[in-house]
Amino acid sequence: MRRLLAFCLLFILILSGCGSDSTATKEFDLAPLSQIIVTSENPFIANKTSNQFAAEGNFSNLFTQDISAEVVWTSSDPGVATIDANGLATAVAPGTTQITATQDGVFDFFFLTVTDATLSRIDIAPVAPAVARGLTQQFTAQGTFSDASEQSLTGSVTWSSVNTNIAAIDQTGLATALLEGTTNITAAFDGVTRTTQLTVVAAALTAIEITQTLSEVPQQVNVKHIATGTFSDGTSSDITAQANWSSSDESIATVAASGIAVGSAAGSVTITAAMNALSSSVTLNVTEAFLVQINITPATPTVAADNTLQLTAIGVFNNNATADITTADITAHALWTTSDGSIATLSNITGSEGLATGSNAGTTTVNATSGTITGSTVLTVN
Amino acid sequence: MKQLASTIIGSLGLLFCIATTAAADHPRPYLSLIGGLNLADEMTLSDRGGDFITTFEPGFFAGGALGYDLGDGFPQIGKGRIELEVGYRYNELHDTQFSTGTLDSAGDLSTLSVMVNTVGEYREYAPTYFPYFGVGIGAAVISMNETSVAGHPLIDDSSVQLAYQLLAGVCLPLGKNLAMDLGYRYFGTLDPEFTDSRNNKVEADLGNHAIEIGLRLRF
Repeated sequence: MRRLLAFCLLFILILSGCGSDSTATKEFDLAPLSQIIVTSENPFIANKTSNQFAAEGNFSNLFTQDISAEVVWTSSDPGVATIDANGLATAVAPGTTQITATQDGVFDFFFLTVTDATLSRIDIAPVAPAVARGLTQQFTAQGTFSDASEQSLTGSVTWSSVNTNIAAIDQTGLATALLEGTTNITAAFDGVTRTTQLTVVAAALTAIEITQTLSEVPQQVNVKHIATGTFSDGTSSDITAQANWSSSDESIATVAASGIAVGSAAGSVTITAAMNALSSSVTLNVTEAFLVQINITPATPTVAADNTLQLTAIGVFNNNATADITTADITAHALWTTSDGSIATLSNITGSEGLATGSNAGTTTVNATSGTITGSTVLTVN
Repeated sequence: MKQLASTIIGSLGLLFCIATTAAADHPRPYLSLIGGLNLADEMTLSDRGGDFITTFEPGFFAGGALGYDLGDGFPQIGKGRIELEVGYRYNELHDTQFSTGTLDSAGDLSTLSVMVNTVGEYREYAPTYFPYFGVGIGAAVISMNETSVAGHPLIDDSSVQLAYQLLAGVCLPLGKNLAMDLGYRYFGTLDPEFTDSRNNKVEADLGNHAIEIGLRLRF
């Protein structure tokens, strides 16, 4: 029967790989293009400015899609306005021209009129923004002309930053904040300029990630939580001490400002680290077993001055459900202290917890604490 | 490659199966007829423009086999059967998914296969019925017949590929020489390649699941 079950399992494993999990990436190109619709934000534009055209294709009334990049764009009078392959028309002289988009024998057109209005003013938006280091800010430029008409000039103006070390800006108006400080952003067109201030502030926290030494622990065993912050400039750092720690149920587990959580009753809680309106959470499960005693080994430790000795904390556990007594090494979870730091120091650094370093001859009491339980021994330094 | 791997694993499984079956009666040839419901996996078709996915309506599977029942004449191998099988599967297209949307489709997918199957039987488990497992390998002509999407021709072409199948089911003896098989089979091929209505090469994948009933007459 075991052979039969094994073969059935093999069969299921084979068949589990037979399904398809792909997604469609190809556009439907079997239906012919039946109609093109050319659209534009402005039927009238001022001389020397630009205007973006778009072409939407209707494919046999089955679907529509943007085909601006696929059609052939032409201007009936390039002396009035020219148009590039992407549908961006540039006014050359006052007058009217017919802008046409053509593909597969299908076409549509749009009459574009170039006026003789002159630029009176440029407005930049947003005005005097503050941007965190590493982030970007999109600026827009709006032109007001002599005939009171308005037109977007974001793509027509020349953008510049007076201090490119603080912020750089490209010709689409997208500024990148590089260093903390202030710079002026200028938009210039046809002899008219407008400037606004851009302030780059300290990098902003964009995400918090928590790492947890254990996700399931007996009661009274310390669980270290480390919060790592990721910032807008791409850097990351330990923000455990700066984060606000909380437990969803303090009757099950509490968490200290240091990120160390301790369970006091069986159950599951959510441990949260919050900072600057951002937060991140992990789940901590506290079991029925609880720590009742900590024994430090060796029992009578001795170390020479300037030498080190690894101490070990052995936890004694009582299981509420089974009444079993068990032991486990909790060296990495205990908080190590000494009564006289001039005699010896104890490490709590990750990876070397419980490492004693002798300094001066004498004796000192060494403590290993987890939750409310503390184990002690006397360390002699020769 | 995944399909080829499945074939190899299935073959190894069959060797295991045959080697462990128990003894029964004398070796004899047999003739069987099989039919049932065929469900074709959704088919991913790939060309230079990307992937698009066709789904199918439930269809049918029909076939026949001429084989040899090893009986208990080969105790060093065990119980089982070896057969030459001709099978035919037919499913109509349901719809086709493109990145721009899903469109109704027409036409059909049919597969004509010639397979050599080896089947291991576990006759010791019950006197009135027993399970069987098998694998087969052979060749298949895969045809996409007059397929179209939203009325526009897609593929009308065939491809010949290496085929494989995995079988499982129970056999119910109906008499000394007659038995009924109730089973499942997975049938796949290496990826077939078609030429579409615009003369572009299109690569597809193929998988079929069949729930079947068969009658087997031993001579």
